Amino acid sequence: MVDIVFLLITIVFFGLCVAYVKACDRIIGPDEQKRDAVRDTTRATRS
Amino acid sequence: MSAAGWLQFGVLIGVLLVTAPPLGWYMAKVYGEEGNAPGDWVFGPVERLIYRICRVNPEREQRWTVYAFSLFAFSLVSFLLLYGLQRLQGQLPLNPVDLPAVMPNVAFNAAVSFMTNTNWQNYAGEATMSHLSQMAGLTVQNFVSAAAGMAVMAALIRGLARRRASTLGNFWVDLTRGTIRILLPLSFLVALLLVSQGVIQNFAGHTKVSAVEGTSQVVPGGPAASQVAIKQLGTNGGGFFDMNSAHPLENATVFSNFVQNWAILIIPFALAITFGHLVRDRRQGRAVFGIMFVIWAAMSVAAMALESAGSPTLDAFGVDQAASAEQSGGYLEGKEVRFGPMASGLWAASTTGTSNGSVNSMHDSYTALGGGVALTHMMFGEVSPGGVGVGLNGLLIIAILSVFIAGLMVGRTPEYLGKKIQAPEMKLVILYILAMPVTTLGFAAASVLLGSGLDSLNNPGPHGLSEILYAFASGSNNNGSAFAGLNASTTWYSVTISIAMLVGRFFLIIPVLAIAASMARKQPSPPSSGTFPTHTPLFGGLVVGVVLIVAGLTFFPALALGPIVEHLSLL
Repeated sequence: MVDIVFLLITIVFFGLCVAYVKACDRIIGPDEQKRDAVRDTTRATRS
Repeated sequence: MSAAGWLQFGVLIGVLLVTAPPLGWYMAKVYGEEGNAPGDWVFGPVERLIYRICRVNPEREQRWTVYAFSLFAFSLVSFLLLYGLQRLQGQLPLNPVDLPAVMPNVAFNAAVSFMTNTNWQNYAGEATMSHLSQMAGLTVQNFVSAAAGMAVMAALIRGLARRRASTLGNFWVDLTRGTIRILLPLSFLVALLLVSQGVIQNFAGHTKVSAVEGTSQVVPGGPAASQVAIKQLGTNGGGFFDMNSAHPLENATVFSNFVQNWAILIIPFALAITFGHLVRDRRQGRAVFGIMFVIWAAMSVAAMALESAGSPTLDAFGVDQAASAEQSGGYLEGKEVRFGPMASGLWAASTTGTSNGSVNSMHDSYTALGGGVALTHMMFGEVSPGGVGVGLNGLLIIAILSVFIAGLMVGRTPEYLGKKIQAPEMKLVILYILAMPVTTLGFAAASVLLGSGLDSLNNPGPHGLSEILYAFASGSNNNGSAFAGLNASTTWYSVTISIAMLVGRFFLIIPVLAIAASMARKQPSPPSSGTFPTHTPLFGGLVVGVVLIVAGLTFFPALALGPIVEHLSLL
């Protein structure tokens, strides 16, 4: 039982790390290529 | 302070200055973009075999998020294997003295500790871990956790050096190359040197021998030298024996002590040179080296001087603590007589300036201010020279903060290596800087408030606070050294220090990789008359000042209640 608790603590921590990565990725914004792709899509939709 | 102590310090500096540049150049070849590195004919086939077995495409570059997820996956699997190995060691081979399974809270703490390159140990190695756990578990983690830290450093440098790029390299390739080409060959050489000095390397169990005075004594055996070599080179620090490098079978002579002290420092210092090569501006590497060196040398001299001066308490009793022909002098409680106070102080500064954490003396027994030096050195964020990879990361983050502060002062857009530092990078720098103090001070405060935290103390009052602060500073900086006066094998300390180690490792690596990704996208602008040069002594002084101010503002109140008030109470 104690083993499972410790394994869960570790897995939950790495889950938090994944969420932290997503948050930091939002801070720096999308890559230029992605940004260009979004711009192209928007232009295509407008035309 | 003794002439022999100064000589040892001078020789160590000399050897570091001679060996760091070639090693730094070699590591730049290993992590560089040129594709060829010395020793390809030996290491290349081994690496290709590993890539084939693990199905890694070495040509495939990773975006920063994928790089981070690869690191998490590798670390989680490492944790599971190490935890399982400890819990099952009673049923596994290479257990000559039939040690039982490691207790769950100790196994959890040790697995987190070695996976995060901390090597905090709340157990006695020779009485807890089988040879298999030591070799296949702890020693393997010593290699790969160090290589993982160096991989993150390589990613950060690529982020600073590349232009308009969206990738940072391949984690699996960096991990493999760091382990195979840097850590394994160096460890082999250092292990041979240590064996030549009497550090043991065997598969024996406990041997009963007759001591000189007629009593019998149990002498432990095991493959110590191979673990000690990587524990120092990888700035891991976890000892084969409970007494770590104060144990004569782990650190036998003054020469083995010198080799181990050099091994603690060489890779972190050499990585500064690597940085200069990889950003194609060696002056930047020398500047970073200089900053690391100045802080480390100052803290080393402080620790050596304070321990050599002796205890103010003994002064009050008129005890002669001066070095003479009859005695080595200084404060010797908790220190090995064969090393003396200067070699002990030098080691204490080296082990806390890196994220090493191994000890050749007991820091809990240091003078109040001597112990304060070790504690403060960790609180600088371990950037002088820091752990392998992560130390350079920390210093580069402080350098980015420094150019931002300098930019604010003169009203110019801050730049580092020609790239503009903007709001996203500064947000990430703040996240990086806050993680360690929040963990250290938060858990220390909780431990002081809770009865279960105070029950573990051996000393009341300010020294007890120092013991608690030291434990969490050590954990959240991934250092691993202990003040030893604290019983940390309780559930409270096992779990909270484990969480501190996890946060101190991964919540710092994540913003570093994000900053690397953000910087990699930028196009550097050519230097102009308004550019603040980052290779000058002026910039070096600014970075040192920022390190001191950030640590001082964050930790001075806690230090005032711990080692400082303890020293004043002795006067």
